[in-house]
Amino acid sequence: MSAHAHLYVPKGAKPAPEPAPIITPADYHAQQRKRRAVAKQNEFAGRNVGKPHGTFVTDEAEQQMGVVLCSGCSHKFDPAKYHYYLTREFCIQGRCDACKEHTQGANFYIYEGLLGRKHGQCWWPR
Amino acid sequence: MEAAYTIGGGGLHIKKYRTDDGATALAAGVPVVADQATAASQGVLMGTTTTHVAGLGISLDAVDASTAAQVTGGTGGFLGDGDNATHVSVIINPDLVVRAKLNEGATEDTALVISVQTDQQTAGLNVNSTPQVADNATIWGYNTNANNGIVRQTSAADTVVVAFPNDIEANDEWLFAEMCPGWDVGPTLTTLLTQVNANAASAQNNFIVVEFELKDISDDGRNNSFALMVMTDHSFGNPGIVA
Repeated sequence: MSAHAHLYVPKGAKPAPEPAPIITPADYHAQQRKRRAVAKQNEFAGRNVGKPHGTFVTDEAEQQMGVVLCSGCSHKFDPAKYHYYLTREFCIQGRCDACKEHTQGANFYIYEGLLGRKHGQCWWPR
Repeated sequence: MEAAYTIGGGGLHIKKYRTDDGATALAAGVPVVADQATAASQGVLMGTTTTHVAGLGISLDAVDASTAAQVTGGTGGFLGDGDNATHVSVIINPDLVVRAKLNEGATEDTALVISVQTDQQTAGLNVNSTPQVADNATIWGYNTNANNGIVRQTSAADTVVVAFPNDIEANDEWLFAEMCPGWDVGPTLTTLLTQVNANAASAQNNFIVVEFELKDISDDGRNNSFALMVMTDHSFGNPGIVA
């Protein structure tokens, strides 16, 4: 047999189709852009501009919601009064519920009933 | 489940999202996802036991379901001075590692089952125990003669990849979870999405296990062992781990 074997291709045969790509980088980035847009439009608007800071935060606390406050606003909130725990396990960043400024080194207060590791709890104080 | 750490070492980024699903209450410590189907109206939603496509993170609030304009009775809605939509705090770091309790079955806070060794194995490779430990599982000594707290992975039913360092004796007690760190098969969550079903693996889940915190009898391992997991399909990007 010849060293250069010839591949026999039947007349009229078509090449096998290319396998469909799972996801291209362009598709991936478009998908991620859409997801970020969806997340952005679903952000909670927070306090209305012009409304008092304090009542908004205390209303939030009365409903046992997590409270994010910057260092400038934290001293105005009494966590013990609302049975809140000031988390110290992580550095926190987020938008202050009172002044609405995005802040690094924020304080996150969580309702004490959510501390623990059983079902329905989500924060473990060290 | 709870935040354990971030792979990059940064702090937690907390954002608040609307969750005016109107049908489902949203618990604390569950994975939430961006609603891709009806994005403008539904806010964020809970995932399922096996799927968390377009994940956003872990919730830090428990809220009642409501679409009312002024929510005054239940938790989660807001009052007069701001947005009155029901909302929830979410840790949104894409590289967030969450710690979830290992649980026996789909019902939360059920102690892990003990697998009891039936014979002696001086080679330390064969775990002939009842109930049987499946392949691709993680097994650790719970109340054994000399292997307490030592963790191994199985390559086949009853067989570990690396031998246990000490002889296995009859009546040794093991705990196991049917998942391995880094493996491409993610764990199934419990019904309420707050813990991990240790004995039901899934090929669909958008979590993978990064590591375990496994305890023996001295630390109540049946009720005090955890899987540490990361989301693999996050709305803000993936941490380089794709299952």
